[in-house]
Amino acid sequence: MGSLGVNLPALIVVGISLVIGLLMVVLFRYTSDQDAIRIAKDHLKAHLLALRLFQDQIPVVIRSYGRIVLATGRYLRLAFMPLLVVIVPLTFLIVQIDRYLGSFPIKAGESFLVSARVTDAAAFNDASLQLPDGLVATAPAVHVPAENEVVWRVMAAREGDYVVNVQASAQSFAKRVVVGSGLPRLSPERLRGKFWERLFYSAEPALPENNLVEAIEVQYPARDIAFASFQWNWIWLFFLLSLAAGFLFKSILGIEI
Amino acid sequence: MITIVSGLPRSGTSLMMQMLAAGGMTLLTDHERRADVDNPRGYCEWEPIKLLPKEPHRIDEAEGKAVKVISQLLLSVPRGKNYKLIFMERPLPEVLASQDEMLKRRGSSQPVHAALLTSAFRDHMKGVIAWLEAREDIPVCRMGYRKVLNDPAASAKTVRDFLELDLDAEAMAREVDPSLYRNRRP
Amino acid sequence: MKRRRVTTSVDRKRLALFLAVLGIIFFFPLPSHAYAGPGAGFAVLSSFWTLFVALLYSIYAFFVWPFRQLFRVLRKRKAYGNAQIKRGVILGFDGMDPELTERFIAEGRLPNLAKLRDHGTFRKLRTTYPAISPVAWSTFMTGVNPGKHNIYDFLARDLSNYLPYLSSAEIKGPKRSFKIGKYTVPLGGPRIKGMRRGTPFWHWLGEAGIFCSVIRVPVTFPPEKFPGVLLSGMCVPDLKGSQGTFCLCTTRASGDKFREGGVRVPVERNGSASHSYVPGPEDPLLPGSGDELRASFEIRPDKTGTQARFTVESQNFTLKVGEYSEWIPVKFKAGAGFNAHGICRFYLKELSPEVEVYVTPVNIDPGRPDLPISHPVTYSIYLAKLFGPYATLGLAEDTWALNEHVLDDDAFLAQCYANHDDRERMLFDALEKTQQGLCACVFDTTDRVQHMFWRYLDEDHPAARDVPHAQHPQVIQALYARMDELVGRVMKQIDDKTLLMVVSDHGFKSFARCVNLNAWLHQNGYLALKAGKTESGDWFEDVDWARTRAYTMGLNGLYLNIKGREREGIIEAGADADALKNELRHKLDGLVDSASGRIGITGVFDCDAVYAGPYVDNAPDLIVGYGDGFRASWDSVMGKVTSLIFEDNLKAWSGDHCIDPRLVPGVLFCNRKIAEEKPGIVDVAPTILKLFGLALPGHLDGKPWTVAQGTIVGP
Repeated sequence: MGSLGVNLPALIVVGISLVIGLLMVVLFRYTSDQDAIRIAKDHLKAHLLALRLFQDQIPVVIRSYGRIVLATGRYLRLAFMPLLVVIVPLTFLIVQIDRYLGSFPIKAGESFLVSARVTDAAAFNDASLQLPDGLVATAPAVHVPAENEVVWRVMAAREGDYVVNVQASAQSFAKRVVVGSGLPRLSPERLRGKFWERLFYSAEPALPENNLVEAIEVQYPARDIAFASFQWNWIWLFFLLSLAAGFLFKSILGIEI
Repeated sequence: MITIVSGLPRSGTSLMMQMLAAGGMTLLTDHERRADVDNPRGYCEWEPIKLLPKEPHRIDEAEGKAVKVISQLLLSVPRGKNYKLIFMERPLPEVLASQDEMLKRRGSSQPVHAALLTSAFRDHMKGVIAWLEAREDIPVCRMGYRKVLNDPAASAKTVRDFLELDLDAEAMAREVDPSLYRNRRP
Repeated sequence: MKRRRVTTSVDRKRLALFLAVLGIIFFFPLPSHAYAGPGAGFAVLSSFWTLFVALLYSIYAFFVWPFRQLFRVLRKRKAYGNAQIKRGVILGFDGMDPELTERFIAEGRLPNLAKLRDHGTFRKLRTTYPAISPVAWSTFMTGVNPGKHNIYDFLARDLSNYLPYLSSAEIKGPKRSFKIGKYTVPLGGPRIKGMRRGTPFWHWLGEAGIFCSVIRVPVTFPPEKFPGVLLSGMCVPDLKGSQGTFCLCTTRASGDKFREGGVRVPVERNGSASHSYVPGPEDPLLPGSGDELRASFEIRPDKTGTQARFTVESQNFTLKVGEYSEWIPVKFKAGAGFNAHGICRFYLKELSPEVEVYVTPVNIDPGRPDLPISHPVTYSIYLAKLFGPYATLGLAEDTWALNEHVLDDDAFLAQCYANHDDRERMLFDALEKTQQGLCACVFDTTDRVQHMFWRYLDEDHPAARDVPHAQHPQVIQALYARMDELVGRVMKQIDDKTLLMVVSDHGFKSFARCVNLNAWLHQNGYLALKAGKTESGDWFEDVDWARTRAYTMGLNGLYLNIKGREREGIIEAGADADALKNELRHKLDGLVDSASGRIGITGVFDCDAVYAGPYVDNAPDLIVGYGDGFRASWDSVMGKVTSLIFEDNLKAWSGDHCIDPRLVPGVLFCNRKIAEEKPGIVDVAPTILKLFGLALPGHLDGKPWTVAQGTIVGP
């Protein structure tokens, strides 16, 4: 909640949903064959009506059901074509929004986990976590051989933007940690290579090429957004609201979907 | 389908019911009102029909049959069913004369002024005709009482054709007894 | 004109590939799934919901079907128990003429009908008195004479004022309404009363459990409930409630009013665009005011001046000069949420120097009908969703526009055949859906084209004098060939156990000379005009009823002015009326047209002799049978009294059948041998009932034919 008691994340999601909903239907309009979609939907409705009109003739009912399946496929093909145009930019947009709305920053006084995934046994035994002033380790490192992971429990005494370092074999690898409140941009992971994974899960530059540490992760708590008496993951809330917005705008603008 | 026979009192509704019965139609009747000198062959009425204004569902019992519904009760016939209506018509002076006779026979001591009655019946008929025109769901066959008596064979065929039922038109025609045509007026 | 897409094999391969890709996406999750967004959400949600509902309904139908069958058996609807046939197809070709058919068969133009004739049956089919489509088709479906089905003409007369009303259906406002100031808010829809009596044979078949698909049989509005499907035909009104009011939107200064069937609407130029409107129904909130609702549209010519962009509400389309649009939905808004929905076609006649656009009558939108035009209500919607919008108006082909020279021959023919193509699609869909039972479909194209193009068959026709002979000399031959080709395609769709009948309600003859019977009645002392008048306007405007003994209106009916029947009747019913009828029959029968030397009236029939039934009182007193080449004049039909009894017919409407019924029998073809030598259209209904094994109702006038078992003519 904001300082004025406003549920800022929910407002942001609602705003984004409206805008994305409108944009999607407009883009859909200009990237789809509207006439063909209308015809495909009409055919679907016709075959549905046929089930009722000719219900006493079982062969007709069966044939109509088969036609419904075919007509559904045709409709999906037409509806998905424009989607392929919009899915790339939309995906990037959603990834970026997720950096803000997907997780809470660490709260001061709360402990959290920092984990490092290493490549070999030497690094596994050698890895250590260098903490800046303001962060303290509250437990010894836990080694998870099955995952090749080393996990530290850390606590932040006060808010701030910190950099922790994982050291292994005299090499040091930094990772940003945000402790505070509000809607800072968060990066749960820092990865080596793995371009696509970095795209979806990281907001930091890649780890330098090395043969020791593959990834460093900070487990930020997942953000739930209060909306309509429920707690939501923002993506589900966005999905539902943008659908509703899309239906609303499609009716207003007379767009076939 | 529900066949309704209607008209003013003494307009030949009982005769029509008898014809339908002779033709093979099942009547909805309770024989409560017995035959008398005013109607030697019986009235073919069904008492519960008088409850129609308050209990319109009563008409359901007439499904597949013929039932007499006197003109005053026609306005209570509910929508939503398949009806055909045979409306008997007789010149008003004859209707009044026949009613008068019947009332006298029953010892009614209060003669009603003819002009008043005529006016009342005319107004009533206007209302009935307006109702008939408003009820686009009810096909109507208007049968003249005189015509039935003068040409029973043609009348029977007309009724059979109107109802589109397998009625024995000859038997229906045989049911008509012109000697029962009393209170004739020129 | 563009048609709906048809799925091709290339589309099917693409669909298969797409389904494979879709399967991969759904079975191999990617992060992008989380970001599917609204687009995929809509598509997936709506399509899977559709599939789910369809599956549920299919399962329901499958499991309920045995119980429905059992229920029918218990109610003694033992369908097909005594049936000689399990499936029947009746094609109605309105107005197909037997003489023309024989001529074209002899010329080798009609191979499929020739096959039916040679191996099955071909007969002339006796028509009704009079030989008018609503009368004949009513007899076709009910198996009774007009005295029992109450249809004697397109029009009937109101005895209280001598004015006409549509004989087949009456539409009134809603039963209840309430007033707010000057506005009347209707509570409920309009009340529609069907005036045709008698029970169609498909009703009996449906009650017996035999499914029927009935398409565009005339006089089926309003549609009656029965166990089957039906799309109403002739007599369905347009959205204005008329039988077809076209609109000519023009920048030209207004000329004369159209004699019938159309209105002129101004087109206003505003810079590079022009604006006009389509007139719609009366404002339902101001009944009786005459205020009509309007749907505006804009025309924006391109630089070449050969085409224009039209904007109708939010719809845009481009038309070239001489081109029709698709069916365009139009909404007429009355306020307070009351809207009327229709469809119409635009035809760009001219862009320069003047702008002229013809708009068809606004048809009831079959996809969202404001009046019931099918049974069930969803049947018209089903056809609209499957094939796109189609004409619903009873008289869908705008003969008035051609008569008034608003459309030329090409434009009219294009309209006819577009409607014909839609009808064919409906027929073949009905054939596919009616594998057992009866399928009946009437095509009006034969009637309309023959009405309007008979002048091309008859070189001596007065209307043919100015016609370039090279233009459409073979239009009727091509029409018959097209119908024959349709028969061939139907024969391929049916097996050798299916009965096929091709029937027409009447034939056709030339309509070269008009007969104004009111003029004759006036000149012979039977009809009087008001003092000082030598002619009368429409609908007996100047007739002196107190001195009029007889009058005519409509196509064949002659009425006596009977005391106690007509409001100002003067003839006593009974002996006086009979004597007058005989007198008129004697004088009119054999009436000669002195100009041509031919007999204008070859028969006058007493309705008491011709009709029997509960509705004979509504019949005319006499039916006038005009001779070959003659028909009631355009003025006489509308109750107008002129000074000329006979005159040339110069209109494009040059062929007709509203003449002596003995001269215009219809056709009967069948793929089985029928014994009767002189079958009548009244016999079709009892024949069909008998073939499906039903007992015949006693009131039928028709007699069932003896039809051979087994089909002689295969597909």
